[in-house]
Amino acid sequence: MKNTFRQSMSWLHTWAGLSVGWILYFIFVTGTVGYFDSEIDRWMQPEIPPSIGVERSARMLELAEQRLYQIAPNAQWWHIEFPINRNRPFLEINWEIDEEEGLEFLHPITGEPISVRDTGGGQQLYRMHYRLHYMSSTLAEWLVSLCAMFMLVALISAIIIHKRIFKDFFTFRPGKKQRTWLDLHNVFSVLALPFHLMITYSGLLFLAFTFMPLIIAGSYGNVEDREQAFFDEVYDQYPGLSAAAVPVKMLPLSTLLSDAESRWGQERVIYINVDNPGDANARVEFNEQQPFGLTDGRELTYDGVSGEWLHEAGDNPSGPSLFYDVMLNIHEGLFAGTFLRWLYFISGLLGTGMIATGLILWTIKRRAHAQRNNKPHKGLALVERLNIGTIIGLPIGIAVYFWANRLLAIDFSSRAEMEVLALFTSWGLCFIYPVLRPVKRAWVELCWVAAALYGLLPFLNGLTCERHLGVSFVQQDWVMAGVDITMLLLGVMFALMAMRLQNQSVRGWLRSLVRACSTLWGTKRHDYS
Amino acid sequence: MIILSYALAFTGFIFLSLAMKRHYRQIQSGSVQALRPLGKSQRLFFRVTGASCLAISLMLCMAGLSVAIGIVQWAGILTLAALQTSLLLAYRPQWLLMLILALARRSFPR
Repeated sequence: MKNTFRQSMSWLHTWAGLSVGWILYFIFVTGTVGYFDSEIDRWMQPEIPPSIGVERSARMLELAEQRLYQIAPNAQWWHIEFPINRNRPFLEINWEIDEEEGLEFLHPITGEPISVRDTGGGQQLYRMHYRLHYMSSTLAEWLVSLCAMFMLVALISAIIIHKRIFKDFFTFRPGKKQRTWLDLHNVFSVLALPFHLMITYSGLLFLAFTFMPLIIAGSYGNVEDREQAFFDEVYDQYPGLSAAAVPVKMLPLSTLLSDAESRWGQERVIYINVDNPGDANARVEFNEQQPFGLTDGRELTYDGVSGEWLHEAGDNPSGPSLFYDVMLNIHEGLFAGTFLRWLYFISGLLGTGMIATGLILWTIKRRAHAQRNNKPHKGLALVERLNIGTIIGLPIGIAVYFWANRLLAIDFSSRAEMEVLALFTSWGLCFIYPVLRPVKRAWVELCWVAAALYGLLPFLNGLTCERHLGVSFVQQDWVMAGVDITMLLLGVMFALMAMRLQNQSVRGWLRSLVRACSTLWGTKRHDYS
Repeated sequence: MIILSYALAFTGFIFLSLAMKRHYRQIQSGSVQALRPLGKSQRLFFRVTGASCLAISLMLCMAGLSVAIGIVQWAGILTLAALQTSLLLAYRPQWLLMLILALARRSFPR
């Protein structure tokens, strides 16, 4: 049956792609959204003013330190993040007391805590990209690793079976049924191929320690603390120290900061970790910002009590470690400015489209075959419904997540969890819906639902908070406006998809809309069709 | 710099598509004049021009940012520019013709 190499690769491509296609779609959608994680954070916490200015690092560190001594003097660790990060104009402090983590945002000039609504924000969506949800992190990491491996197999087999990769480089022939779907699948895949290969390979590197634990065990032994020794070596960490349980007064953090700045230059520190604050074994770690580089920033470790300089990491990384860092940084794209970030986002969308068209192609081919032979295909009905539930259902779920952020009461308890629940409930309903409706109708109707949910989101934003599009434009708050406009565009995109599926042109649709409205208002209008 | 490197990538892809028979015909379909078949030397010219446009676009990216990030950005630019080219070829090939004619008039004024 599979006589030639190419035929067997084609078989491999089909089944590697189909078997994990739906999870891959989820990973691609959440990952693509993740490129705008902090923009979504901003949208989901409209309480935060767009720009409140910053102070010098030393002054902000004092403010953070003061606050931490006030609310978490006995914490296991502190984490202080300066507002250098894009779209986060505030100072962030984290701490842990008795396995309980705390988080607060401070005004960078006055040091006053800023109260914001409880929300998962863009970070929650991005977390699902590698952590999935409602399962243990071990299971999630293994699942994601497996899917990424299948993805790599599907990509490489695709390059082998695609004979006309250059000849058909620009080829897209609309209006030709199966041919068009295949063209679309090819265009999405080939044009963003560098991105797809990079993202899959580096994604696997992210999880390499999870799915290849035996390699570490092979040289370091299988005991937990030996594994820790491996990670300390890989990440060039200064070995951690547990608390001595002897309370001691620490040096002011700003003293240590000025030493760090004398080594790296002014305003280079991006975040600070303090282990065992106020203890004889206090350790202070400074992390350098890499604003526009593919390598990781350096790390400085100090004794928090004596102020002694202990260690500098990342100063001279080894070849493999540098390669690892570069791949991970290209994957995350944290260095990207606005334009490059959009390019990442578009490439991610193409990847999402590639998976969606691949899944749809599977059903189209089988449906055509079943019709020709007059014999129903066994798995077709299942795959068709799973496709609808995933491809259009997931975007609906994410839109509902945004709606929930605005509609749930601000003081609702466990608000962030309810948002996630809203996402998965509505997504779950999208799997039930196509069971009750004919396949074609289910596609069209759910596309309209998605169009309405995304298209109306900016209006919901206008009704429920003061930072609507008009205000954003006047204040030139492009992050807030950007999210709103992107949502509008997504709404338009889903509407166009629905019209396409109904074989309706935009003009025809507008005409029927006008006609429907005029009958509704009882006015007589000339039929100009 | 970004706009220029994007424009160069887009122009490069138009030239590369002109070197292919199917797209050559597509682009010419908007013209009033009779079709002239794609000659060998013409094809070579399109290919060389297209490839050099892409190369200059890469150099601009690298000059504007660092070498490493320039390459990353260039890959993204290529993706978007190629997508634009293939969509225009499918739906509005006459726009590409107009663009080429405008470019030619600019570069070789009578």
